[in-house]
Amino acid sequence: MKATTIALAGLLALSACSQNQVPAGQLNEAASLPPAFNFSKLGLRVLTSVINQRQGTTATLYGNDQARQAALEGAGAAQSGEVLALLTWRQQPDPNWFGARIPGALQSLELLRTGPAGAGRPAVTYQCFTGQNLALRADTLHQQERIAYLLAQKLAVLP
Amino acid sequence: MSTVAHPFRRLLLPAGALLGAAFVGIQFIHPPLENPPVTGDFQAPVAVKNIVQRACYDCHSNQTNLRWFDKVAPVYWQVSDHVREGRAGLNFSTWQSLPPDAQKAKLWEAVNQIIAGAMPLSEYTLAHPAAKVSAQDVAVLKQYVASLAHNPPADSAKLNTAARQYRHWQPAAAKPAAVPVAPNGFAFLPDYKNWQAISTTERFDNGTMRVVFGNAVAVQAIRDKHINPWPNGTAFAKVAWDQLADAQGNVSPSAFKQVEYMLKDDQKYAATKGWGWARFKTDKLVPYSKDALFTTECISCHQPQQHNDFVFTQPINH
Ligand code: HEC
Ligand code: HEC
Repeated sequence: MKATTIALAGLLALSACSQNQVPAGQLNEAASLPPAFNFSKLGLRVLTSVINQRQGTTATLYGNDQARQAALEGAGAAQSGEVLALLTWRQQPDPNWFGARIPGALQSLELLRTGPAGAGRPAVTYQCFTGQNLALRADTLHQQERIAYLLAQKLAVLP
Repeated sequence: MSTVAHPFRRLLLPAGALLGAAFVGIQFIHPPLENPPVTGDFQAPVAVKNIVQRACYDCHSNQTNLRWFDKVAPVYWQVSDHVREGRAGLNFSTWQSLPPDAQKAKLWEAVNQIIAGAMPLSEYTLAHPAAKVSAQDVAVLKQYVASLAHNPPADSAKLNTAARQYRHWQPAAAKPAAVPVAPNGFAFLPDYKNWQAISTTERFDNGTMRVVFGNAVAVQAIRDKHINPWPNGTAFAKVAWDQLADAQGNVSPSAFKQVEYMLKDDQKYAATKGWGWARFKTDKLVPYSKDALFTTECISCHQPQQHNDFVFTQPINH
């Protein structure tokens, strides 16, 4: 009797081991932004999301009202006062769902602002912050390409 | 001492006899468990089929094979409940009546329930050790479902749907005439698009991509790291779109498929694990299902996350 009880308890303990590999109640720390950056203070909303299967990255594009309006009107409609932010992560397999990939390590934050018009077109400033600490990158490589890419994004339908 | 123990000892025999009689008596309370006909059995490669038959068919098919010890009450009562509930959610004997997409979704769900240790039920494998699913079996099943996932190139029908949706969607103007309400009374929350994104997922099992939004309560809870359990008032909205890939390998949202909600209120929604559940489909925001029982579907699949307040997402602090 006692032996079976112990055996049963043992079996139960063993079967419990196979459950829930992922610790409960945890944030996705690797993907989180440094709190000091205060990203949410920018007050931006989600415009769309882009995955690059070749590079294994996933990104979310945010914008303010002006940026949203300009994106709705289509390419070439850039106006003054737009703020666009693209957050990019490396992907990782979803530990809770075989069949999904979720954001892993934070890769970059690209920030674009449009200022008052110069010669008919608004002036654009572009900054790229990289890594877990979002350090500002000094070089200006590929900037024009990235600006064009960001301004060409289409909104995702959010009814 | 003996004066106290004595009456007890005298009671032992009649008590034992009474229990014995009760045990025999309850054997007559035996609600029948039929095996209805198999109308369209699950088809898969032999290795896969063997695992599923051995580990799942007792509860998820019309070919339930109860052993003698399963037929002894009160064990029998629990077993027959499991079979009834198991068949209701997933029945491999009526498999062919499911549309192909639903079959695939069920298989991915099945594999994930096994990986999470939720299936087969541990009460069952204790008495039926042969039904255990080994790591080797899991590898076979994973490989099989992965072979079913393919992202067909966007066909013109899909592209047309996406284009039509985009044309009709005016973020400022388009408001449904009446707020749609799910069969459990949960009303569509239009403000979700102003909440913050807390994660995204690429679902290669079904060719969709998702953004999970959290309301202000959720975002504060993330900041405070108080997310298990989530505080009352927490709301999540998960939006799913079809994937659309371009030549550079960039995948962006195409047609909007649905928005799903979870709203925490441990009193009001005590009957559904403390969460209000709802799903609204297509850009017309059609409430999913005709009756409130749809929530059992949500809960079944979220069940392996029960130690995490039924939430899958590991939130990102922005
Ligand atoms: C002893 C009976 C039993 C066995 C064996 C069993 N299940 Fe289940 N299963 C249940 C019950 C009961 C439910 C519904 C309640 C729940 O989710 O716990 C269920 C629910 C499920 C669901 C959710 C169905 C839905 O509602 O969408 C899936 C998927 C599932 N089981 C897969 C499996 C797989 C795969 C196996 C074999 C590896 C298996 N089960 C073996 C009893 C069983
Ligand atoms: C087949 C399994 C399955 C079913 C059924 C299901 N979900 Fe989920 N749900 C998931 C997974 C997996 C995630 C994690 C995000 C992702 O990968 O899409 C999730 C995430 C969510 C989230 C975001 C919060 C979280 O838990 O991560 C909400 C909200 C949600 N589901 C609502 C629902 C509702 C409402 C229903 C029922 C109408 C439902 N789900 C049915 C698998 C399921």
